[in-house]
Amino acid sequence: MQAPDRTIRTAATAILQRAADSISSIILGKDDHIRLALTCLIARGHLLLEDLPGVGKTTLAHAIARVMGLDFQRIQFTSDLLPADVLGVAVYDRQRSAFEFHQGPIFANFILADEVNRATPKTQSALLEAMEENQVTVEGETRALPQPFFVIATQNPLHQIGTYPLPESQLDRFLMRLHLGFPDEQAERQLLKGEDRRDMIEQVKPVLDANKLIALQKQAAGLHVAEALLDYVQAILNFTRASPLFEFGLSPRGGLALLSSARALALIDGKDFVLPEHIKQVLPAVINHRLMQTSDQLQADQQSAADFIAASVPVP
Amino acid sequence: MGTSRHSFSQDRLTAKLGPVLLGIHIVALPLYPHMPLPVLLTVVLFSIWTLLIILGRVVQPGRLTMVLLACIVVAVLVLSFGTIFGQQPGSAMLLLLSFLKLFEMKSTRDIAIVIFMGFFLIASNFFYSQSLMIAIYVFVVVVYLTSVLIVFSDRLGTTRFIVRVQHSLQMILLAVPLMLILFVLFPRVPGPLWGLPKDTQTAATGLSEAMSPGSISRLVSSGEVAFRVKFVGKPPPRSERYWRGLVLSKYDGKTWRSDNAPSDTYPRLSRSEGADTSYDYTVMLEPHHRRWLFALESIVEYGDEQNLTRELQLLSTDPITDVTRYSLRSDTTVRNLGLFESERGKNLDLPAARNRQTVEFARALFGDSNQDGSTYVKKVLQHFGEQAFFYTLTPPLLGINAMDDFLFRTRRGFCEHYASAFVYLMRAVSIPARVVVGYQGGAMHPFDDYMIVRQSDAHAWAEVWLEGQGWVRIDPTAAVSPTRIQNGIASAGLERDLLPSILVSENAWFQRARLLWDSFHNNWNLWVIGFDQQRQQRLLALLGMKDVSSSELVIGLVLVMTCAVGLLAWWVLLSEPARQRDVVRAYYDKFCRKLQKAGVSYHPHECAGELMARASRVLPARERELAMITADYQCLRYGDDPDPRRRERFIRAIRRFRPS
Amino acid sequence: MSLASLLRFPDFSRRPALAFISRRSGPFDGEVTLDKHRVYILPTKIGVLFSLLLIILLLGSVNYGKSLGYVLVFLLAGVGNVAMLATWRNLAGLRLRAGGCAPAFCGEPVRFAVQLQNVDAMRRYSIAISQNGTEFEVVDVGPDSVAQIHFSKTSAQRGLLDAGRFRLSTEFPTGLFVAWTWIELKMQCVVYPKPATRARLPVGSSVIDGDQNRLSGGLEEYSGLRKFLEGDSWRRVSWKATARSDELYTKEFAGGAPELQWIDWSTIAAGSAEQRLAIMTRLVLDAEAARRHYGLRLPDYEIPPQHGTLHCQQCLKALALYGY
Repeated sequence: MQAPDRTIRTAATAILQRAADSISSIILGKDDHIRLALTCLIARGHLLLEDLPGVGKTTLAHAIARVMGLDFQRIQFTSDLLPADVLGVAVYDRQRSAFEFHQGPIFANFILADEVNRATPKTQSALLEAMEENQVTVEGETRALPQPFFVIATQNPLHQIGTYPLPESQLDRFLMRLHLGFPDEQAERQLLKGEDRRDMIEQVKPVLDANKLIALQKQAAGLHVAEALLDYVQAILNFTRASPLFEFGLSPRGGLALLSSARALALIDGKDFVLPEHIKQVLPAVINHRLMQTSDQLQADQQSAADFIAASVPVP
Repeated sequence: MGTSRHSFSQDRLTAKLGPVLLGIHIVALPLYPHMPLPVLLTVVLFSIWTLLIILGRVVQPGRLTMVLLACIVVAVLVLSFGTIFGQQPGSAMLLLLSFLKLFEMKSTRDIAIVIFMGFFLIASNFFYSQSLMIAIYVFVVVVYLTSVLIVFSDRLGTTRFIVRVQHSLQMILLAVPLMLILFVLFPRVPGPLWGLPKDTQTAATGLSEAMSPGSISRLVSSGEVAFRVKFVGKPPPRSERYWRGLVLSKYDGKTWRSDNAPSDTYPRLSRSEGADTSYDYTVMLEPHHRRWLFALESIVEYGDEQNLTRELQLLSTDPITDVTRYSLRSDTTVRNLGLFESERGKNLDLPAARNRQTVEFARALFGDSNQDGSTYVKKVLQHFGEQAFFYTLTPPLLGINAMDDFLFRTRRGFCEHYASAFVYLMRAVSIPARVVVGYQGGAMHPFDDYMIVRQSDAHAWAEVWLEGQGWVRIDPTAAVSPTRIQNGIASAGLERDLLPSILVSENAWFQRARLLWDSFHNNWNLWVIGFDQQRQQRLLALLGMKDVSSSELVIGLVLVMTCAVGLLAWWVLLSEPARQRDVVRAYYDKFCRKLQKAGVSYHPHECAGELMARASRVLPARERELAMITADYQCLRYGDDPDPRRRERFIRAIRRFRPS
Repeated sequence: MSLASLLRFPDFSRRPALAFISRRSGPFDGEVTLDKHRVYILPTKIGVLFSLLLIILLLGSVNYGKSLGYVLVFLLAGVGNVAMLATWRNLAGLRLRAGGCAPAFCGEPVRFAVQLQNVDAMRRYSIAISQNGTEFEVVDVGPDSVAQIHFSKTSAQRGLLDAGRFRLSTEFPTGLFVAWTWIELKMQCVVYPKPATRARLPVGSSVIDGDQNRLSGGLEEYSGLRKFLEGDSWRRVSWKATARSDELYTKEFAGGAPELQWIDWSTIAAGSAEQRLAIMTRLVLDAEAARRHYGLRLPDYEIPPQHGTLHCQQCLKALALYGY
């Protein structure tokens, strides 16, 4: 009973490892981030990349899409982008005397929403709603989005005039938020020496396709979570709610996000069950953008909320 | 993590009444058999009413209704008892009032009061019985009532029933040592502080003051203990174990009755013949709600609390409602020599114009005996022994001429038949004679140092006045069934199915268990129920303290209690409660402690993997062992495959793990 | 029962009457453990009644010479003793930390949270919090866990409100005893000024972000009408629609840059500073409700235009603490 399960799981881990390796060959020195991005994808969540321009946000998204064998759409968000430009419009067809729906770029498996903070809140919320519900409603008609559906949104953290940072209350639509940061010295040197990254992406062969990805997502969702682990997650939730450092504490959705991410990471790790280590590894990416801090105390200590929580909550 | 909260309100108070209602019934259960029907009916009615209130069908009664209900309660009590004062009406009133309190429940405090009334009710049980069973029951009730108290201090209602019982059991077990200290050291005050209300409603058990055919044979089927005796030295031989109870002199043709009031004149006793026929003993008499006491024939010395009539009948001043202990000295050879003129007439009296055949037979036999009393007695006994008389528990019914019927037709009877026939034959020839009832026999406990006398040993015999010898005990049953006297009732050849199982059962295990229980019961009577000033002094003497005065006792009590409460406080408050965790985690903690000793500090927020990584750096030689233990721990604690072999391996590995 | 209500004895547990209690009760910064010096215990009225019951039962047992009566009385006395310890234990050893608070407007109750941490393996039941004789909440704290308990306090003044001394008490498990403690934690909460009921933004506060070309350049699309809200730019009022219905309507545009609004101390005409703050508070709330971008200018402080809950709270806090 255990054996076939186990082999399937090993195969899944092997495929994911290959995918991660392929991506790492393009994005150098960012193995952990790649692992987390894959985790986010397997956990059926969406990813927010927050960083300065030029650190490889777009390349990373491209590479993941390519390796995963998903059809890829990039939407450049600008201040004049309208919701219809993202979702699609119903156009009146004179010959057939009926409205015809023209799909917007969002109808794809893999969306790169570049610089979301440049668009107006209205367009932003159109995207966020689609992400939340996995469907699009235009002119009163609801259309399902293709599955799997994965959004990587990038955002420039500098709040320039004329940008609309995503409101804090909506950040939790993203399962994870990552900061890429600059590559380390060695990786940067290699980057400078090597060929154009875009050409490299073209050369990479897809490891997966949409159906295989769905299968992996299902597999991850079925991984065992022990009572002791649930205790740990609950302890984390209670800690954030009770701590005076945070405004409101984590929502139940935050707890579910932790669990689903940890499951996906356990699958990538090749484990049959989720460990507290997995929770800890996904913790910064999953909760830092969900918690509003009441004071600058943590920043002064150069500590993220996740670090503080991980160092405070006992592991059951 | 199991945190609940509640903004305060009293809304669910009536819904919480269920446990209290149940509590009242549990408390009152042993009282119900003693309650008259009207009280019981009222209880049923009130219970239904309370249930309706709990279910929300009926609102709580108003003030006027409450006054009316109080009147009804008083009326019911007066109807049942004729008064509202006394022990029994008192406990009935308490029972009914606690229902009234339930009706007008307004706050938590009211419930506490009902629970306190429950404690009073349970105490009122002691008027009826203080047996070990009742004590166990009271313990259970206290546990339950305390758990009900918990319902009301648990304001969020998060405790489940079983948790409340655990809490209350825990508290009570901790209270037991304090209780023992108080029980042993609290100074006992002899005698009542105020007048005891007399209660005569209770049904008496055992022998009654009248004897008619069948009254003793009925008792024989009961295996209940009548009394227990502890002898100083050896007990008398079985044939001498005549436990004198009542003397019956008055005969109406069917029933023998007692007609002996205590008098100022003391019996005139013969002198004791030697030390080897006198016995010192203590009787622990089970309550029979009568005044008479039982004593080995014949009493020589007795206590101040008892009276001796001139018929050598020992009486207590009050009815025996509790296990009562008294010490006596008897001498089996001593006889009562006194016969007073008033007694002579009484002991010769026979109903007129009855049993002609018997009277003629007696006169003829007396003539054959040369008018000599002793010879006549012998001849009568010979007659019983030689003719076809049978000893049986199921004798045929007798007519108006009972003696004629018995002596010449049925010839089947139990000891009361033989004793009354014998006395009749004596009186027919003007020899003063009377019936004595009591117990004959009693068996030593096989593995304890006391004798048990049961109801089945109930017996009747005769006493005749012979000139020059005084009152002589004659047991006509001995002539018919000598084994009854020699070996006891079980071997008297009676119908075995009518005898108590304790006597005739062949199941050794059952016998042993019964006797063990009896031994326990005896100690219970001796050390708990009978624990008085005298016992207290004896116990203290056993502990090496002689002649402790009350004030010394109080000082000691205060000292010991302070120490005990302090000790308890220290134990309860400072000892960390045992952590209830699973075994795997417990062993992992042990592993962490071992690592800590080896210099790898433990941080509670660290995962197993992180700890392992750190530990491997400190103890590189142990890397494989550490990895194995960690992997097993992760599998067992977070995995879904509880493999017992893995578990064993894990536990073994940790036990064997010696990092330093 | 009237009997119990007659038993009034000085109730120290309602107020920290004795000086030594005050000294031990804070205010504390950070964590406080309720050790043996801080937890007090006394019998409740029910407890006094219970001892009365014991005395009566004891007299009865002596009088009737019932040994089991003694056993019952002594057992119950033992239970009372253990109950005292258990009640004490239910509270002692608990760790307290300030648990934050939810800011409120002046005149509204401020909810303070206290964090109760139970480091023992036993559950602590029915712990109540009260202040000035008013009980607010009852909680259980599970083994090895943390619970929050709240109490409320109303302030008549904007600014910072001290939580003050509060009382934690428990009667669990028997209700015969009450164990309690008086504690003050260093805990302050912002009380926002009471918003004025109505306020009009001075004309000219709204600025359209970016250059004027974008507005006229037609990059934005007309998307509909909505009712006029205080502070809307007059330039966007749809006079046509207003003429038709007697009410003011504002044209909404999509895709364009939003309006920026400055809520400026110097432009508010009001008598006193407090009134001015009240009006500004109202304006902040209105702007947030209308989902506008707004900034706040105080004589000594400025918050650049933004929107969102956090921004709104920042603005309100600045108003609350003005002059502190």
